[in-house]
Amino acid sequence: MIPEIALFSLILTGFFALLGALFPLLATLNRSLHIGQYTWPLTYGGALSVTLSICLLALSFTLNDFSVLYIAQHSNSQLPIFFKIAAVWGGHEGSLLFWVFSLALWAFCIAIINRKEKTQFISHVLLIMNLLILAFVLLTLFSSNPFERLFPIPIEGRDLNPMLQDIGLIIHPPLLYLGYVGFSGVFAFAVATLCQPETNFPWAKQSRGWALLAWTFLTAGIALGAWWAYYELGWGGWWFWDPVENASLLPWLTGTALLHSLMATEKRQALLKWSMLLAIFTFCLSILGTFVVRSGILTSVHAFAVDPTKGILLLLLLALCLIIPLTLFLNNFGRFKVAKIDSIYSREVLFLIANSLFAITTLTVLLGTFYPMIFDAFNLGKISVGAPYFNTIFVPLTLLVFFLMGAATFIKWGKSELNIKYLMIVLGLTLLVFSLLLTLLAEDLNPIVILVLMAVSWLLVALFLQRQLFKYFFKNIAMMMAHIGIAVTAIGALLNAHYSSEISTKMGPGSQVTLGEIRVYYRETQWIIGPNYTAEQALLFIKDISKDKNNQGYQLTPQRRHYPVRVMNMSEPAIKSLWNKDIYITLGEKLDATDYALRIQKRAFTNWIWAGAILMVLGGILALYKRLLINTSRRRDKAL
Amino acid sequence: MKNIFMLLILFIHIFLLNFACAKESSNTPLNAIFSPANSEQIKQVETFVFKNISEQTRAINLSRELRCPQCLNQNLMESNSPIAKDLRLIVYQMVDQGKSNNEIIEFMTQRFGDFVLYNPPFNQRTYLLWLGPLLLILLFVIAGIIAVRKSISKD
Amino acid sequence: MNSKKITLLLPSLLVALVVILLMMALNNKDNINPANLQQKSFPAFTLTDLKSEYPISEKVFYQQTVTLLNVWASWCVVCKQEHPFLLELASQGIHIVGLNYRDKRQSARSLLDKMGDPYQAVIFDPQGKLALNLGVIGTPESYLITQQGIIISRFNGPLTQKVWSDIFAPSIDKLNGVKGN
Repeated sequence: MIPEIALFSLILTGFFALLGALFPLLATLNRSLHIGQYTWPLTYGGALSVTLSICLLALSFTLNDFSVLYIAQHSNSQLPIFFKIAAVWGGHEGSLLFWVFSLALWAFCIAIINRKEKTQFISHVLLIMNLLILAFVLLTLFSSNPFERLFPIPIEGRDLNPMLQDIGLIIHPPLLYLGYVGFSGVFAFAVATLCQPETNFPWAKQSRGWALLAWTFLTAGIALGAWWAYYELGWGGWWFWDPVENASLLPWLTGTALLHSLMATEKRQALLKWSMLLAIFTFCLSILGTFVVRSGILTSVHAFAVDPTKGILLLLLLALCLIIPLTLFLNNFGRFKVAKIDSIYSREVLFLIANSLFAITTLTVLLGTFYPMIFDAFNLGKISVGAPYFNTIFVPLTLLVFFLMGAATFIKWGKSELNIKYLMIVLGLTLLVFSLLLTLLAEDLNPIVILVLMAVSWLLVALFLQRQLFKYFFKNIAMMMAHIGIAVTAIGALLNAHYSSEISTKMGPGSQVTLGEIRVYYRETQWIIGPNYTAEQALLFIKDISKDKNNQGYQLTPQRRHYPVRVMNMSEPAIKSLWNKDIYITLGEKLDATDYALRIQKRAFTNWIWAGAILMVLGGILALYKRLLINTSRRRDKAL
Repeated sequence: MKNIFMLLILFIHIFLLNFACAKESSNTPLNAIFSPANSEQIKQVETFVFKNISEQTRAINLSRELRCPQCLNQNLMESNSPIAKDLRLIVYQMVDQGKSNNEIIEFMTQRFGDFVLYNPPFNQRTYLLWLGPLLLILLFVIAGIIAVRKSISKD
Repeated sequence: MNSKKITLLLPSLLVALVVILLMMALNNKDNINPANLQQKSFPAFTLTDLKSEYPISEKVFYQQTVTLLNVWASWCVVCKQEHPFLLELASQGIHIVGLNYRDKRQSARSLLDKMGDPYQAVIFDPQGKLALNLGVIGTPESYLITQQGIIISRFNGPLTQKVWSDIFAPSIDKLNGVKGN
């Protein structure tokens, strides 16, 4: 009964969306029909009904309703309750429902924020959002219905894939989807603007807020995904340039460019075309990402197990989302007044260069990700494009972006005087900070390490040396935090790649092994019974022998888990996080009666990667908070 | 009798799983559970001792650049499948014997094709891949200069 | 006027191109494509026969004009699906040599006892050493080898009537110099 109500709710969402698109359309075509105002309640209705739908699905999971095919495939009565709820978005059908939910939620937010003045422009924005919701509802209903019944009803479900039974599953997909889908808002604003006879609505200003919110979610989602892969997958890596990962990186790259471009558009009416195109492409890249993960078109460990036909519908939707806005864009090309750029030494030009760099990076990652597929499609054979290629391209481009970030702090909007004296001070201090970082962090004179540390030093000096630092600091703390964040992540990633080390060895109770300053003692093997698994656990004691004898060591317990329902073995690594390294130990194969293969790694500076990501997200949150404060005070002023 | 029964249960599980899920990722692929005969090689690869640190680093870095032919996009260090471990052992042994990276890559591509290289070769068919980014940079630089010039000169 | 119309059509054309490319790739996945051959001649080896335990080497191919080499294992579920077709081919007179990959001798033998034995001989490769030299990626796989020990065709996946008629039969026909059907 409950699944049917949920299904009905989903269909209802479709109807709300249909009317939510129809009403503003009719109202625009016929001025005398004052039905545009109903777009708002229709949007609210759609959000409510899809929320009901997804909540009922979650409820069915907790009730162990295995008569629903989706639940039987992804759940089990032994599954802990948090994972039962998380399993809602753990599989293809459920995650598409989550897409509909996210779209409706964002439409709801846009409607709520703009509820005081129900302008025609916003009704158009909501029209586009509702069309998207309708498209995804139809997609879900006709190709990926999560409420499909299963007969005969199995006694037990197939269990959630043990790799997904982790807190990562609870937070990573929702944040990621909210991010992906969030860019639909900016997309809708851009397309709505293209449909207006004039472009005088301050679309850039409000779009920037929505882009910021989406970007924050997406950054958090990607970072969480990387963190989850790191501690779950067992080999100490955090980014694999896997097609699915790249698919999430692409909208992030264009989304970051979009944030900056919108700033230039809002403040100086510059880069208008860039902002439009970035808005269109970011959301389209989100859809592309969703398509890639589900269609099986690219080989990946992260891919959902679905057949190609489900992908084709997404592909058609993507085609529409590209063709219509781009055609509108070209049609309105003449309307866009090119902003006056006063001088090469202006922030506008810097942002232009930055946009270009992000675009080049995005296109390159796209090229590398799809190249094997194109290669194969033209029967040229099978090749692989992996980390070596992407790193070769990514690192130099990142260096250039860092240089720009630093320069942007003292090159202002409009016209900037190139103050040679100031530049000299900055360069001098950069060298100072650079030598400091080099001595503290580097272990050798690797050229890439040198270059990145130089770029980061430049950025940090430029950030902190801004004129009237304290006044500027609090005014732009959000910006500084986010930029410092990316610098910290970059250092972390760089040092992690170059200064990690490992050792693989046979160990049993009583044995010990040394890796640099780390000594690992194997105390004993234990047997653990978990909620839905059994495990062999190695009790290890680790001590830092470079410190004095009195320092306390610590215990680590890597496991090898066996999940009976899905007949899967999984290695759960044990990690000890220190400020400058992670001790990462995996329990491997059983080599004989008492001994196991153990892989002990020192992953350098891993925490810096996460710290940087946290700073970036905090920066985003602070920026949003600032906007909220400004907006509420402005509204208060207006009211007075 | 009981053993045959257990085996049967497991077979049924695998049969069903094969039907239901094509691209499941797992730390240990199912066939590894049933493939017993390479424990000697596993021992060797997991406990391999190199002559010195730089050799170990070279071997590990090269293994990271080679793709496991059987897996869903994993390199030889990441994958736990038997063939990945076998190939990794060969990489280790060849490094130990003093063979160069190019020789080891040649060995692998002779048997498995360019597919196993995560660092794609630079040949006629990959010009677009390697030169594409450079071309893009050039295009954007030219377009940018034209746009900025036009905008500045407008008055 | 016309140039404006053309510019407007540009996105549609480009996107359509991309979509067609992606669709091609999607469909390609289902198509039966022969695997790209890496090795031209069969690697030399010395192993034992599965059933008789007598030594066996690459000379096993020298006795026939063309031999079908089938890589299989008792733990491989998909191999069981192609097994009946192999029996059919054997009854038609095709010479099939098996390559038993990373298996237990007893398990492999009992499978052949139970399901029938289409193989003239089976190379027992418990450690996958020959398979590795051959470039075997997984099971099942099939190769066509000439009397000179040259590999002329290869397919990764279960052997079916369609695979046989599309990929292997034409190779055999070419070898025999037979033109037409």
